[in-house]
Amino acid sequence: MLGALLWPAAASATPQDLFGFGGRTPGLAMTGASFACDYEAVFANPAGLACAERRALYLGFGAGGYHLEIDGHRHPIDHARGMTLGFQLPVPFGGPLRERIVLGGGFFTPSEVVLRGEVNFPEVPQFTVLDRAQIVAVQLGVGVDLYGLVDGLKLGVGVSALADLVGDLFIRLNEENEFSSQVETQLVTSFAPVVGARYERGDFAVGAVWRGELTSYMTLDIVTADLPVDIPPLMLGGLVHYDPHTFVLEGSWRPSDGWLLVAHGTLRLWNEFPGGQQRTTMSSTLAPAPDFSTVVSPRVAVERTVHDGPLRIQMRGGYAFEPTPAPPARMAPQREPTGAAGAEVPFRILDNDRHVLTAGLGLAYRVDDDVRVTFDLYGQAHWLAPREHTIPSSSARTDRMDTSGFILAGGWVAGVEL
Amino acid sequence: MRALVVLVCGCAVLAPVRVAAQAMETFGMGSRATAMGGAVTADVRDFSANFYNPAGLVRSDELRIAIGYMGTAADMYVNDVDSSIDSVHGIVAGFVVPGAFGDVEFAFGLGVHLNDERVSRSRTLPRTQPRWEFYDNRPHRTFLAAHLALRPLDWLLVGGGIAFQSISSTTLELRGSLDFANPAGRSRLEHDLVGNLETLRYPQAGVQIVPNDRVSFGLVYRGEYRLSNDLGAEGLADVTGLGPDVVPPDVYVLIHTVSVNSFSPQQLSFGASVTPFDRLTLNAEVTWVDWSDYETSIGASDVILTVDIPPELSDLISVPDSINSTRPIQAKFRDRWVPRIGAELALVDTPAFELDARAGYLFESTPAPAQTGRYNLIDTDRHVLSLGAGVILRDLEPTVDGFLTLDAHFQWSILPERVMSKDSLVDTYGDYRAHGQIFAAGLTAEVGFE
Amino acid sequence: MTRRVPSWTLAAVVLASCGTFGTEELEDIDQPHNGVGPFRPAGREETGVSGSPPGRALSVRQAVATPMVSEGHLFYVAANPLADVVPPEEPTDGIDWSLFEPRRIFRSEPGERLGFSFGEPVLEAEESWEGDGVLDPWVVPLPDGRSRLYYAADGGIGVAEAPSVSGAFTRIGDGPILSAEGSEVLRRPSVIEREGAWLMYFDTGAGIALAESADGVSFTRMPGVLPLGRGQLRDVPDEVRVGGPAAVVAETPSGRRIVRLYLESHREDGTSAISLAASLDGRTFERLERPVVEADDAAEPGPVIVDRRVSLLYHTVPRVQSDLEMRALVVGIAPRTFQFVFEE
Repeated sequence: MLGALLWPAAASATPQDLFGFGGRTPGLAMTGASFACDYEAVFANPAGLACAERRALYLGFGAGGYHLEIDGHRHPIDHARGMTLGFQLPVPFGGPLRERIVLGGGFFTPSEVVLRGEVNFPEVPQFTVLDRAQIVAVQLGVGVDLYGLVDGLKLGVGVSALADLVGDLFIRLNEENEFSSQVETQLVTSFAPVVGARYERGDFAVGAVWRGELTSYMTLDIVTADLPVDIPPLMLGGLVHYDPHTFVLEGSWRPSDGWLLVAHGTLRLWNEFPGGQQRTTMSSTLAPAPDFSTVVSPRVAVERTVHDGPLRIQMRGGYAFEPTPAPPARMAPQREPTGAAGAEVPFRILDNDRHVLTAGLGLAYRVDDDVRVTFDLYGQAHWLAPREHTIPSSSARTDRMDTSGFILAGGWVAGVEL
Repeated sequence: MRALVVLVCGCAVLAPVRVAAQAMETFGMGSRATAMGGAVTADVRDFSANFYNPAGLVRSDELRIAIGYMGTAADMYVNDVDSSIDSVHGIVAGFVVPGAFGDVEFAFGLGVHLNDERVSRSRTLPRTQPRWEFYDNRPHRTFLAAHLALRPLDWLLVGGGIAFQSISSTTLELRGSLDFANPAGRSRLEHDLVGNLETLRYPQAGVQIVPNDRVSFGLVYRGEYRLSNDLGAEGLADVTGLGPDVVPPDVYVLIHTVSVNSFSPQQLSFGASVTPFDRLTLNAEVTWVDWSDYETSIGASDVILTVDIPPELSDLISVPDSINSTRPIQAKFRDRWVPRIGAELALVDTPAFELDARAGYLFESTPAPAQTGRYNLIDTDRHVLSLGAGVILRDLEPTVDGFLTLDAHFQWSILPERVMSKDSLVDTYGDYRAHGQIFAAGLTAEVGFE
Repeated sequence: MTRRVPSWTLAAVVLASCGTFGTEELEDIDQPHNGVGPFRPAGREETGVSGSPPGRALSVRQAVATPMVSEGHLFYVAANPLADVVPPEEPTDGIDWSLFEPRRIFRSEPGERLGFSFGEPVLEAEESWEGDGVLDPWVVPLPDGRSRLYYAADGGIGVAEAPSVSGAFTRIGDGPILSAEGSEVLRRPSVIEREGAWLMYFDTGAGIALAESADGVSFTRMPGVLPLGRGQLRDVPDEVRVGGPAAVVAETPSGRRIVRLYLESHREDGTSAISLAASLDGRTFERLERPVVEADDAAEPGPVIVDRRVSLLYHTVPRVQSDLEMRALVVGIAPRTFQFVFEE
């Protein structure tokens, strides 16, 4: 299964980067670096695992529906549906390690297309940043509480895992004078580190996270021999998944009992995105450079908690602004093997600024002293600000192209804490 | 344009992968179970219950975290020539998390085998090329399974869960120009590729019956999975470099191939475990493996070619008259019954320390028929001898209120010689003899928290 | 998969037939193979002989024909063009031997690689029944070290012997051991010894016939020709006849001794390819569907079994020299993925 879980998927980034991970933080505008204290912390901030007190197992379901438009016509993107799995495991050491180390894991497995690697021709309209929910996400982390050393400080490290698919194909004439081939493909794990820290003092908490660049390539090298005509070595595939370096800084405040206010900023270094395509042969041209930009996403969230006996109720809301890193679709030069600019071709990587409103509801019920069950529900509305591009869509007769749309996402997660 | 046809035909077999399964099906999971010949369906209780019998997850009430490492070295021969079977080595890990709803005990378990060279490997060989069907590529896959176990009655343990694999489908499109005179320096090709893996889940379920401390029985079912791979390839290219006065001819090719080539049969194991006296445990079991349901690792393909070569170039470019579609040939495997025995003896048993010695044996008859035709799925019977030892440290407080086990195992697989004689005297590969041996060893550490 | 193996490995294997190989490199050695073909032309580095066509194994100016290898020595027919020859204006269908001196049988010493240097004559026409020339050599090593040379001539098939493969050949008897019947012409004898019986395959012009012997000298011809021709194969519907047999016995890893009979498949258009048939008893054969050498009007096979995986096939393909139709002596290698690498 892990092989499947780690397989690369559509062009870029991970579903948790788009919608958040878990059942609580997606309703809080994808925040959590300063307050998530359970399995969700493996993504939000692994340092948060350190404050998990109970072992727990979580299972949930999430879905996202796309309505993206090009010139007023709907552009098809598969809806995202998938299962969320999570666990946290305080390691019951004694002595100096007592209540200090917590392991956690989080998995998101799409229910239809687990993995998708896609490399398109440059002129094909493609929502490179948004069409990225068809991917399995695997995250593991460990949090350490430094109480006694620096009270209130927690550190965490983790990994996000994907895989490179590396293939070699050798074609020749076989012993019976038929075309014959031998192929070997391997999934090789690639990891991106996640490092986080959190400091809590009184009603305030600050969290900081760095997520390393995560790339996944799907490549197939083809070599031929003994054929009537020489074929150059072919290199098919390309970069099918890309998470940029991401820096998160977040602060939260509990002004009074039952309230949580969160302010959050995410910096993504999309400017280092090299583009998905690779040269088919050494002498072939390469698609234009994507020329993405670094972007900062500001987010705010609020959570209200009330108690009624063994029942705890939480109501959540948030807003996030996700600026697009992509320039407008345009005519752009292909890249020649020499590095020089080649002929200009239509280059239709599409993306829009997004305004994201989120809401959520959390229920927790204490069955007895040992067992508590939880249920979290969230919903998100992503509105894509209309954008004008400088070239037409492939089928239009105008000299420009407009993109817009919205995304609706929601889900639930149920858990058992022991 | 024959060259490009070849190219895309080759792409068409990218997706098909060979019979694949996890390493533990061949080499075991965890040192204790492997040392006992895998005959632990009736008494497994550690993390390896995620593979051997998920009911065993709830047999003990400790929180268990385990990690280990295993490796193999194959010494396989065909016609006395080393087949260069790649070794398998990787990490095994898992945990068992117990809990209780009222009076009902339950446990959640997760087990993984992760090869350390790669997550997985698939390998497609030419249709008739000889290959060790079960050892060449089969163990090079990762295993991950999650289970839940309940103990509704004190003597009854049940468990079940799912393991995961994936189904592959790929589409490929090529366009541009292929230079006839200088293919490496002047060809301008572009490609578009979409590769999908879809989830395939298969079940595992088991029961353990524990009437008393001396006897237990186990029954486990592992579901079948078969992975199909679907690939479509389409190419449209100009053939350039044929001369200044030649209009580059077009070549169009469409290929579709489907193969059911990764297969693990359903299987059912029944085992018993007895403890005739305190320090000795004897296990025996038998496994039915439904290999007769195996189709073949060789897929089907269809090819359409349209090419319009000018008559004056017919001597320069050879266009095949037709490309034959291929259809799979049934493997005609037989079901397999696998007997296993295992023993564990506590050489030292004190409140703080325990030292165990283990041994086991299993026999796998080959399900593969004699390869008298064109195809060459090589396999032989397999005798497996195993030895192991383990220590349990119990005086670890205050750091650990529980125990730490360290287990080691060594496994020797003997594959006696099998002779294949071809019906055809002009067969490309001819008659051959196959035999070999495989050595495997591993270490496992598990910490249990009371 | 490519692996370098010690030179003695190959040397031990091929000592009986081609004892001069150096270090080699084997590709796909992990896989079993029968070595029956198809054959690829050997490379320049493998033959040590330059020039076209690909796989050329002997560089000569003479017309050569019917190569075969015994104990590392190459035997073949060669003849110089007549001194005053005038090339025909129209291309001839094959070699016009009337434009050449009488054919003689030559022997080349083992070379460093798969190719050979031009050798010395070992047999020429002397007997009245032989006519103008001797041709189609086939040399069989005997258990006591002697070599026996079967050959064809005008009156049938004769035999000579030498104390060793490199020794001088002396005719046995004063006439052919197998005579032609009626107007037929017997050519291309190929002899194997199998389970105490000697089997001779030869070309009658109408097909391949079989004669049997207990001593390898006194042969009894079996009636008719072997059923090897058209009608057995769907892939060669234009085959009009078979001929030019060259037999070799291969022992399989399972212990079976199989007679491989390489033969010429002559087509309606006048060209030929080299095909293969195999038999357990030497009398009933199974044809391989596809030719083992199809390109370039290949003919006159002379197989060498190197080991259980690898075979060589010396044969000839057309070439033109000094405006005369001739044939070039080339060598092919099976399996195609196998490659010899010799130390410089």
